[in-house]
Amino acid sequence: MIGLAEKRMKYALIVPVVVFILVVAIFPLLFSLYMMLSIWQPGTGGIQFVGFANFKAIGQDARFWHALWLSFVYVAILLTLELCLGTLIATVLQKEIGGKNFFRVSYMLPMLLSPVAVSYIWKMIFDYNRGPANHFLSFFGIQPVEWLSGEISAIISLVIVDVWQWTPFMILTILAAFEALPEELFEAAVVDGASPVKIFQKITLPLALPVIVTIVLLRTIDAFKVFDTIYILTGGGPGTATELLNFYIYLRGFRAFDLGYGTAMSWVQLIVIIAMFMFFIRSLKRIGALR
Amino acid sequence: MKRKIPIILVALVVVLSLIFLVASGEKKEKAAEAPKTAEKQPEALTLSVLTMTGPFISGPIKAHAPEFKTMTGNTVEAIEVSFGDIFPKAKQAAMTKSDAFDMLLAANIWMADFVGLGYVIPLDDYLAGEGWYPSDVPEGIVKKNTFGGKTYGLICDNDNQYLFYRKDILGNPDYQAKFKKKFGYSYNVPPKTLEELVDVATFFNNWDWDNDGEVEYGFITNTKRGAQAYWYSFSWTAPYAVIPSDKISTPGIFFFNPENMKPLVNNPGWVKGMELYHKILKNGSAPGLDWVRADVINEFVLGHAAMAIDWGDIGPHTYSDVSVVQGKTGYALPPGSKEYWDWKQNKWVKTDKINYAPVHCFNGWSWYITSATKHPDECWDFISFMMSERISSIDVATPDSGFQPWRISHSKNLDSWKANRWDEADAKAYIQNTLDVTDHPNSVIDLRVPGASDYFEGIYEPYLTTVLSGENTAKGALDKVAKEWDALTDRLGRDKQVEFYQWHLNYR
Amino acid sequence: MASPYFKVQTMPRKIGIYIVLILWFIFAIFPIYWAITMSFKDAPAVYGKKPTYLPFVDFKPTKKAWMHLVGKAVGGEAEFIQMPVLGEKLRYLRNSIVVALGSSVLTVAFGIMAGYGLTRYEYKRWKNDDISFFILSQRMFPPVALAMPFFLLFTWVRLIDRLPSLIIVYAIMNMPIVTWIVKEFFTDVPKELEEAALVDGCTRWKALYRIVIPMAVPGIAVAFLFSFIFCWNEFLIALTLTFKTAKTLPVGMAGLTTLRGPLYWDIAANSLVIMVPPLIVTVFANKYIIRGLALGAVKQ
Repeated sequence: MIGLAEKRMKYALIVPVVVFILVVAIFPLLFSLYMMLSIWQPGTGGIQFVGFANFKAIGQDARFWHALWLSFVYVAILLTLELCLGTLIATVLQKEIGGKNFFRVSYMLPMLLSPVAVSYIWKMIFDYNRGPANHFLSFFGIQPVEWLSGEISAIISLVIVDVWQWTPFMILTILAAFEALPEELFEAAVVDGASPVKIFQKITLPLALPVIVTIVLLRTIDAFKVFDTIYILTGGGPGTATELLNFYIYLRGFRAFDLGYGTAMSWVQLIVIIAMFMFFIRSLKRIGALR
Repeated sequence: MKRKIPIILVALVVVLSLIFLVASGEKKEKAAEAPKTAEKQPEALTLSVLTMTGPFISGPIKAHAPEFKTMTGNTVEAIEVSFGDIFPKAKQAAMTKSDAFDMLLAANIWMADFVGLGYVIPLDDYLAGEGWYPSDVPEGIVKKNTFGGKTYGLICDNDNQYLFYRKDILGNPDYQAKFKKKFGYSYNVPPKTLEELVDVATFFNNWDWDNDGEVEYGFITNTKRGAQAYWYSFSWTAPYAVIPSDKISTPGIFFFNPENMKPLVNNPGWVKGMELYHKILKNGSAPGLDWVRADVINEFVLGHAAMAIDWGDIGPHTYSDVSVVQGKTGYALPPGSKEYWDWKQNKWVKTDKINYAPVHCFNGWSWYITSATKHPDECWDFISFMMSERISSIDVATPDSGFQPWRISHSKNLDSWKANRWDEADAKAYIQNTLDVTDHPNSVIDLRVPGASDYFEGIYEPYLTTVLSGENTAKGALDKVAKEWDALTDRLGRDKQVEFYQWHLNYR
Repeated sequence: MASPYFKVQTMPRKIGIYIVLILWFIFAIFPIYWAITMSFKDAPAVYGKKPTYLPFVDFKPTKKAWMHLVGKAVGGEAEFIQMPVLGEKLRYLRNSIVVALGSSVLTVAFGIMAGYGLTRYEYKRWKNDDISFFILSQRMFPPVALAMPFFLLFTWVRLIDRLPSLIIVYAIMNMPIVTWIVKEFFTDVPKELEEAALVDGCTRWKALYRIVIPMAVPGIAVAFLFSFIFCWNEFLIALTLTFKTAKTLPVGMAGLTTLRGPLYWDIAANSLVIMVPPLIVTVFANKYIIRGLALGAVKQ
C-alpha cells in the first residue's frame, strides 16, 4: 500500500513542475524555431515560411557580426576585471581584520539593486558637464571624458557599471569558496615557512579553481544578456559602439518588429555561446584545471 | 534568533504588501463607485489613447479628459509609453490585430506606416462636419494631414525647427564691434546664413557674455543617439540640399530622388551642411556630446546659450519659473545659404537671395483613430473636442503641453498666452514665426514612408553621431548611410516605397 | 580561523589592506549617496557648472522630488503636468508587488515540490540529473528570444498587459535558482527524521510540511527573497509584455526619459524607491543571501 502512495507522491511532486515548464516554455521554443525560418510581412499580417533566408541575411549583416564581436569583447573585459578585483578583495577579506563584516555587507549593496535604477544613477554620474565622474578627473588635471558618447569610452562606461554591480557577486562567492577550504592546509603551509603569495598560488587558487570556473560561467551567461544598462545609458550609441548583440536583437525584433530575423539571431547567439562553453570547459579539463 | 531574520523579513514583505494592496484597492473601488452614481448614461465607454509619457503631449489629454467625461460620460485614458516605444507598440498592435488602442496621439511621420498597415481610418467624412477645417489651418499643415489624397491624421502640434536667439546679447553694440574686428564683417541679428551662424556662435562661445560669473556658450543642440538627435541635423543640410521652389515643380525634395528612391543623402549639399554642423559643435557649442533635447531647452532658458535651433517649445519655456530669458528671446527662420546643390543637374548653384529650407522635423503630433476600435464615432467626439479652438488655444499656450500653435486663429486670441505671463507682442512674434516656418514655400515635410524610423533612427542617426564625435568624415558616413538606405529600400520593396514617397511629396 | 595565515602581521600590510577596502567601499557606496543627494536637488543645483555634493553646504535641499513622487504639484507648477511616477493611484508600485509576490509564491511552491522530489526519490525513467538539467536549462535561453514568442502567446490568449503573464514568465525564469537553493537545503535535512515520522504513521505530505519544510525554512526564505528581488528588478520582459495596466516600476521609470530634463531629481527619488526592498534585504539578510550564493555557485 505504502508503495503505491509513495509512487503517486513521487510523481505528484515532479510532474506539475515539468508540465508547467513544458506548457509555458515549450510553446515559445517551438514558435521561435518556426519563426526563425519565417518572416512576418507587415501590412498583410501573415507569417511566411522562408527557409534559411534569415540565416543567410545574418551572414551578410555586418551589424550583427559587429554586435557579436562587441559582445565578446565586452564580456571578456568585464569578466577579467571582475575576476581580478573579486579575487583581490576576497583575498583581503579572508584575513582577520576589524570591520570585516561591515565591508562585506556594504560591498553587497549594489548587487541586488534594480539595473534600471542603477543605470539612471550612473547616467547622472557620467554626465559630461554636470557629472561627478568628470569633476573627479579634473582634480588630477585630466580633461573631461565623453563617458557616454565616445566610441571607446561608452563601452568602458558600460563595463564600469557592470563591474560596480557584479564584482560583489564575485567577491562573495570567491570568498565563500576560500572559506570552504580546510584550514589545516594553511596551517601546514605556514609551518613550512611558505610566503603568503606562495600559499595563494599553490593552495588557495588551485583548490578554489573549480568554483571560480563555475562562477565565471554563470557570470558569462548573465553578461551576454546585458540589456537594461544599454537601453538607458547609451541606446546603443554613439554609432553602433555599444550595440551589443542582445540589444541589437531587441532593436530588430521589437523596434523594427522583424520577428523572424530577431529570433534567428538569438538562436545564433545561443549556439555560439554554448559552443564557446564547450570549448572552454574542454580545454580547462585538458589542462587539468577541472576534474 | 538570527536564523529567523529571513523568515521575519519574508513575513514582513508579505504582510506589508497585503496591507498596502488592501488599502489601495479600497481607494480604487471608492473612486470607481463615485462616478457611477453621478452619471445616468447606461453605457459609459473607456477610450484609450496611445501616446508618450508626460507631462509633454499626454498632459493635455489628462487635463481635458474630465471635462469631456462630464460632457459625454466617456472616459479617455492615456496609455503612456516612452517615446522610443510608441511606434513599436502601435506596430505590434497593428500586426497582431490587437484592439488595445482606440486612438493614437502619435507622430505625423508614422502616417505612411499606419496607412500601409491598414491601422488608421480616414477622417474626411468626420471633418466635413467641422466648419473650420481646412480654412483655419495653414496649408503646410493640411499637406501633412493628408496622404494619398485622404486625411488620416490631424496635427494638434505644429512641429518644425527654427532659430532662437538672445536679442539682448546679439544686439549688444559692443559685442557687434568686437565681432567685426575679429571676423571682418558685421553679422545680421539674427544670423541669416548657416556660415554666419557658425561665426557668431564661435564668437559667443566660452566666455561670460552676460556677466553672471559663469562661462556661456554660443550654440546648443542635441547630439545623443536614441534621443531625437537626427532631426537637429536637418536644419544644417536642407538649405544646401533642397532646390528652391521657384526652380522646381515639387518643392521640399530632400531625402530621395522621387523617381527611383535613390538616396540624396550623400550628395555634396548634404556633406557640406554636415561638415558645417560638425564645425559649430567643435567651435561654437557647449562641449560634450551628451546633450539631449531637455538640455537644449534648459540651457537656453537658463541663459547658458546664446542661440539654439530647436522646436518651438523653447518659446513657452522662456516664461517658465526658472527662466531668465523671458522677453529677451528672438524667433527666426532657421538660417539659409547662398548656394545649393542641384541634384537634378549635379552642380552647385550660387544664389543672390538666401535659400531658406526649414524642415518640419517630426511634422507634429497627430491624432489618429485606429481601425481596431469599436467606437470610432466616440473617438472622433474626443478628437474634435481636443482640436476645438477653445481647448487647443489653451494647450498651445501652456509650456508643458508640448503643443505648438497650429491654427491661424491661435494668433488672434491671446488670452491664454497672457494668462501664462506672456508679453502680447512677444507672443504674436512667436506664433507668427511658427506659422511662417510652417508655410514657407521651400519647407521640407519630414519623411513619411513605411520604415521612416528605420531609415533615420536605425541607420542615419548612428552614422550622424559618428560624424559629430569625429570618428567618421561627413562624406564617409553619409556614403554608408546611402548604401544602407538603398539596401533597406530594396528590402521593403522599391516600387512600393517609390509610390509612398511620391504620395508623400504629392509628386504627381 | 586561528591559523596565523589569516592574521595580518605587519603594519604597512594592514594599511595596504585598508586602503583597498576603503577605496572599494567609496566606489560601491558613492552612486547610492549621489542618488540620495540628487533627490533633494532642483534645477539650479543640477544645472550649475559644477556638481554639488553636500546638502546645506553646496546646495539647498528641497523636497520637490519627493512631493512629485506622491503625485503632488509643488508651488507654481500646473496641476495637470504632474505625473505620478509610481503610477496613478500607485499602480506601478502595486503591480510590482503583486507580480513579485505572486510569482515568488508560485516558484517557491514548485521549487519545494521539485526540490523534495529530486532529493528523496529516484526517477528511474527520466533520471534525476536530467530533470535538474531540464529545469536549469531554462536559464540559458536569452530573454530577448523568449520575449517575442511570449508576446504573441499572451496576445493570443488575451493576457497581454495583464499581471498573470508576468507572473508566469517570471516563475519560469526563476525556477532554476529557486529549485537549486531549496534542493540544497533539503539535502541537509536528515532523512532519519522523516523516516521516523513515517514509521509513526505520518503520510509523506505530512512529513514534508511538518518536518522537512520547517527545518529548511531559512533556505526557502532565501529562495523566496532571491525570486522576489529578481521579479522586482526585471525590465526587458516587462517592457515588452506591458504597456499600461500591468506596467511595473522599472518600466514606469524607463518612461521617464521624456523631453523634460528637470526630471533628474524625480528619477533619483524614483530610483531610491525601487531600491528600497533590495536594500532592506541586503542589510538584514545578507548572511543568508551569501549562503544562497555560495550554494548556487560553490556546490554546483
